[in-house]
Amino acid sequence: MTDPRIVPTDVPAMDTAGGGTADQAPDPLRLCIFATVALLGWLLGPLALAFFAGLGAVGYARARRAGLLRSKCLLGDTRLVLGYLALLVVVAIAALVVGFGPWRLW
Amino acid sequence: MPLRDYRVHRYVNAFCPLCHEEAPDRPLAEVRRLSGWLAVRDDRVWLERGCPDHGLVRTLYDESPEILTYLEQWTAPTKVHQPDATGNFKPVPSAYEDGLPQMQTQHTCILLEDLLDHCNLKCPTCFAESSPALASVAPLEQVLASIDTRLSRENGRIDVLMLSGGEPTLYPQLEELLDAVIARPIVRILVNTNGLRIAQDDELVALLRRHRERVEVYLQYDGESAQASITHRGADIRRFKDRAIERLSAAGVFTTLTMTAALGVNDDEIGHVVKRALDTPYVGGVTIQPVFGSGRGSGVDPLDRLTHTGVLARLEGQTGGHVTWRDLTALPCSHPHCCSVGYLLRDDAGEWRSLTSLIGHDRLKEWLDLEPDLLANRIADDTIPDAMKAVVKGSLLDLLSEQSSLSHPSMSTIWKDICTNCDIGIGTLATLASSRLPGRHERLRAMLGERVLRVTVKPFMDMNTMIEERLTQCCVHVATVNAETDAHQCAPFCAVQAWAPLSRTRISTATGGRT
Repeated sequence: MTDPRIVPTDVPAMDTAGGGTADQAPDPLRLCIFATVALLGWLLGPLALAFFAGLGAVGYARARRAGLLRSKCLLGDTRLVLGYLALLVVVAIAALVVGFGPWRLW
Repeated sequence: MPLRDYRVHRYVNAFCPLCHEEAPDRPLAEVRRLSGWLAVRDDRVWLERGCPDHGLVRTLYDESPEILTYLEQWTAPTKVHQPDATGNFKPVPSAYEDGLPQMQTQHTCILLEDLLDHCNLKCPTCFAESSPALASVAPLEQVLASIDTRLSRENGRIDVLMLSGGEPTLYPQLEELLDAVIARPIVRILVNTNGLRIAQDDELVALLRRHRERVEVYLQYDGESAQASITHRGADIRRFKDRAIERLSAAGVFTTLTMTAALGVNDDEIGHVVKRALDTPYVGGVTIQPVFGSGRGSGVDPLDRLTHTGVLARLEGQTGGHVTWRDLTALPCSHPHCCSVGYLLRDDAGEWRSLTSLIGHDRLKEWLDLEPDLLANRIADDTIPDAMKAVVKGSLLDLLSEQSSLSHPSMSTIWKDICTNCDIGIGTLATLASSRLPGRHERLRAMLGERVLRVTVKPFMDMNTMIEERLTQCCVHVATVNAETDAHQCAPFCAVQAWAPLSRTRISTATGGRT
């Protein structure tokens, strides 16, 4: 659970096309993104996992170099998050090798 | 762009309470000072600071923007201090590892000596985390060396020495200590006690009585309910408190009732404590301290708690209108958010009236204003003689300072100066006027004990309310010992209680194990 002293600072996206204001109904953009990620995961399997885990690892590595020691991620310490993402990359590569190589097992 | 939903009251430097809770023992050099502000939103004052790890962190700072703004009017020039280490320009809080730094802006009004960590109670809200299990006792020579060091940096005079702990009445050499400090140029000595020994030990009461011209008692008293006693002290010890108050009053020892007040526990008993003080001879003061979260006191809700202005706002309703927040002003010597003070005087008709209502806010403010030209202009068209006007102003500054109390030796002069300029009754004036005559001193003392009450509200800071400027102007300093050089020094009270590396340098902890 998030500490109640922490104030969410996500600002609603401004409608630059004109006519809209920040007071409009909230845009559930994230739900669309989650569904799309799930679709890609289903279609591409370990390839999608390798891509997103790699992307996350690069992002967190940059953030840590920029001074982020703790993330809002459940794991907290950015080193733990990096380890977790690296592990996902390894798992994805292993799955690709095992599942799609000429020596595929099933 | 839409407008923000708050108004910035003041820009401040603050600290992250979440980082602090994750690593309370963090070296002080790694404690980050954060940019922040006091924001007025929904008629409350919030402390908001930006933390690189936790983002925007918001906690309740004070309950009433109106009263906080009123308090900020009461300021006076601060006194020059002598740093403990010359050239210490380190930032807060690591600067305090070497005592008072160059950038402190107030001298020591109160020096607090923690004599021991041992206590006969284990209060759930104790900021010093004292308990019966702790044995460290500062050796007498170390306490005196610490006092002498402070005397050397305060031009040879300490206004107030507060003996604390732990429970100072359990200090094995209390009598020798009192004799030794009374022989030094220390104006007043306060004993900060839970009263358990006073309630039972005749010899201790006799000792306090013997020194009552210079020694005063700060007695913890949290209200009339069992709930207040159990929450703050861990047990229902009200009978001991009642007995301690009776015995101190009978012995003519000036006593201040010190109330720890918490929201939902005893915030509705503030009026009772004030009334008890008004009704009890020689209870010359009441200090109300909203509970704060340093030390063992960790159960404070940082978003909904009792605050300085919250205590002030509750006064009127709980005292039947006898005391209101307008009867108090901020203490001009400290930061205006740190303490408020008011004097109540009982006139010859038996009516309690406040100093501010007798003198008037505007006149009081003029007298506190130290601009000489302005003062000279005022005197020119006034019937009060120049000398009298100057004396009254000086007296008021003394009165409205952290150092003042009813056992202050100059108090009779102060009251005489003030009371000849306001109407509190012929009988009172007659007593004051005759106080210089032989044998009349006791009569004046009794009159002050029965007819004057000092009410203060003292909100200490924990990490949820800590701002740097209040530490910088703090004048309540705790005796500490330098961890590397063993030199005696001191540091602001709230900093010592909040940061564990500083707390370990308190004299009782630092020297207690050396015997």
